[in-house]
Amino acid sequence: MTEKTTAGLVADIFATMESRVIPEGVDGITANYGYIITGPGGGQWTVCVADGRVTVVEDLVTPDVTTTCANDDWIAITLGKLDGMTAFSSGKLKVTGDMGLLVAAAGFFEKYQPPLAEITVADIFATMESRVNPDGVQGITANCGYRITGDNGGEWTVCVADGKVTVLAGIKDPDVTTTCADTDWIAITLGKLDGMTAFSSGKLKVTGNLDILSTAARFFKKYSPPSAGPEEAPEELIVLKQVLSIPQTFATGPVMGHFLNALKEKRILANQCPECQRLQIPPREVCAECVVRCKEFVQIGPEGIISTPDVAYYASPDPLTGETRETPYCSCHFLLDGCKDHETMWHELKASDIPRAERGVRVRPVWNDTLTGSVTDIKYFEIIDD
Amino acid sequence: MARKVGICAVAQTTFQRNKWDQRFQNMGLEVLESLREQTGVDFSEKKGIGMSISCSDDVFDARTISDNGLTDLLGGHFGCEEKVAQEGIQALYYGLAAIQSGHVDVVLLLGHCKESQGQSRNMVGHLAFDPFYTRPVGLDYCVSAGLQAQAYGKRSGITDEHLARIVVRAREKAAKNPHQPDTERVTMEEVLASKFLADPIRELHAYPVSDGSVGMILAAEERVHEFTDTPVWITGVGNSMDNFFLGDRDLAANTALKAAAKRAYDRAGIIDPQSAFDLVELSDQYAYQLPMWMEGLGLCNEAGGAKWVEEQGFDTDQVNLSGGMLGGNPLLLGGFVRAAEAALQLKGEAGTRQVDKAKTALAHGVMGPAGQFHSVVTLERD
Repeated sequence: MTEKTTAGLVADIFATMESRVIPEGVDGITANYGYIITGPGGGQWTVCVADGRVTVVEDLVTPDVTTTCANDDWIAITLGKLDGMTAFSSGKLKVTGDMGLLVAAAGFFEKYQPPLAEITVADIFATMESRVNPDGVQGITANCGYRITGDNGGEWTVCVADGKVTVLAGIKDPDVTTTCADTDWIAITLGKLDGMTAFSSGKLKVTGNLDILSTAARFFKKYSPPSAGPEEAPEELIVLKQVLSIPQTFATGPVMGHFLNALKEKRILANQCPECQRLQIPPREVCAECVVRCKEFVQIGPEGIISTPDVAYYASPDPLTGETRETPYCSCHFLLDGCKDHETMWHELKASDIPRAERGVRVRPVWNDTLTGSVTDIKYFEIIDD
Repeated sequence: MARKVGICAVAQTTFQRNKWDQRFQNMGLEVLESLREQTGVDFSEKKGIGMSISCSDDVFDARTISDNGLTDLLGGHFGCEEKVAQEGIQALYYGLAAIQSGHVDVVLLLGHCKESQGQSRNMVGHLAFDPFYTRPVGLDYCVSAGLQAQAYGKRSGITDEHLARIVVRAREKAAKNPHQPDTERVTMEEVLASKFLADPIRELHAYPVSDGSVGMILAAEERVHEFTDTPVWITGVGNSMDNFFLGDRDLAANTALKAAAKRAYDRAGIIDPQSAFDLVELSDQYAYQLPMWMEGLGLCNEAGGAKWVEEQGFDTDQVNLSGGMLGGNPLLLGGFVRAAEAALQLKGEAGTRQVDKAKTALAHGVMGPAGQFHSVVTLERD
């Protein structure tokens, strides 16, 4: 737990005690319970129980028993993540005075619910500079204005220049201005509302240069809302978080290697079965149908037509960075010039061409500036305008 | 046993520390082409390969359903394809069952493994353990083998010198095996001075990292002679799975191996295993396993492993003339290669490592932590 997420939590635990009293739990008990909570957000409190009533005082007042522990441990005990007895026997929790009184104390209060996190539009904009995705803003110079309406709203300008992002209050010389309601903007930021859908349904209005916005989705790393404390789980239902990852070095072999190397020269290769004459893209060692080696390479495309387009609306996060690719994206089978039937190549269609993605439309590859011998040397295919 | 099944041909690539220039499809293709050339078999619907059984591991290949990467080679195009995600010697068991059942007559077996692809083989072995208890406390295959080596070594009186002798001899044999071109001979002193991995296991006691592929063609008795003049018959098979949790087992007891061996011997009608085999191929992932598995198989006396090493039993009993796994075969393929090596011997095609007039053989495979799962196959020629 970070300090940010637990700040104020200890005080809140004591402040809410009076409202959480279980009458049967305190029935017949009269005692003062002192607490010394150390660490940031800590302090001293006394829980005074008398005649079935509980009063919490922010100080040590003639305690019959005093418990001393660290802020994080106290939060964990309150949330049921750390067993009080275990904490005591391991020395995390120290007790002076009449220890017997503590046995009853576990039944005094209803379970503590940490306050829910509040996500504000201001926080989304305030954290943008720290969430910049260097690849996403590379080569872009633009001012994007945002007019967020509603109680939680405001006006901001995100200025992108030379790979740097500055967020200013107010609308300043925008190239494009987006207007939307505060609740919708939060939903879009959290990935609960798709920006494209919001735009087409009119929830999000844009004036100025629309093309800039299609790149804006990549400006920032994912927004993480502030959290008001750890989530609870019943004791037996613990979940373990582990990331499985083994760095790999993949050999390409001579066939895949030849295909990938050709991409560095902006050439797309298929290989041809000597028996059935079928082209295979990507080229593989043998014809998948005839199981014979395919040694002949044929250059295809680079232009062609859309054979089957599809739009994907989700993307799986990278397990190590948590980042997801831009969505929606157009997953397409292209039939490149020189190919027939099912001899298609899979790649992506440029996002801004999605509304025009139809079978038979002519396309050409758009290559990255730096070619590395990877299938992503082709940035995407784009529709050729007549 | 029911319908008789013969091994018609075996093929293997070289096993090397890092085949950086080949993806696994390239290695597999080399094996497939050799098998087809030796037997003339094809993928035709009526007379050809009726079932392909691949052996690969999703984590080693870093892809879910790893056999998909091989379907081009396996005639997976509308063919019948099965996968063994286990020690590859199990593919032989599957193929045997498919033929004995009358389901098919001809079976292709093809296994591959690239231990060099991941940053560390131990990271793969680590993932074989459960995430709740055994992973967080640092178990992997090597560390669990260390526990077993302690337990077995104490019971059978195995010393550091015994282990060094096993390694020196394994490297000596591997150096003569053309499929092990990367082998470096080592001296007793070098082994004894080698770094500890998991006491008493030293670096040189562990099977070297390697990449390679191995395959076989099996056929029913009535069709074997379409493909070979020197078939090797599978006379017995047996396997046995021990508890996964090491704490549930007596690590020195060889319980699973004894059960697997008994099943194979019963099927083959073998009463005295010590006199039954002209040669033996064992999966020795770590040096201590060679005498331990010999004991478990009943091929040397119970608790007699140390004496067996001292008397160079590995030479008199013709054990691991290929160099064994210590010569360098990857996990998954160790037992599969053992069966292939035994078959080569019985076919009379083992070259400089050939045992004169060999007629019967035993091949053994092992998988899982500290010898959890054992497979035993007995072979014979006419």
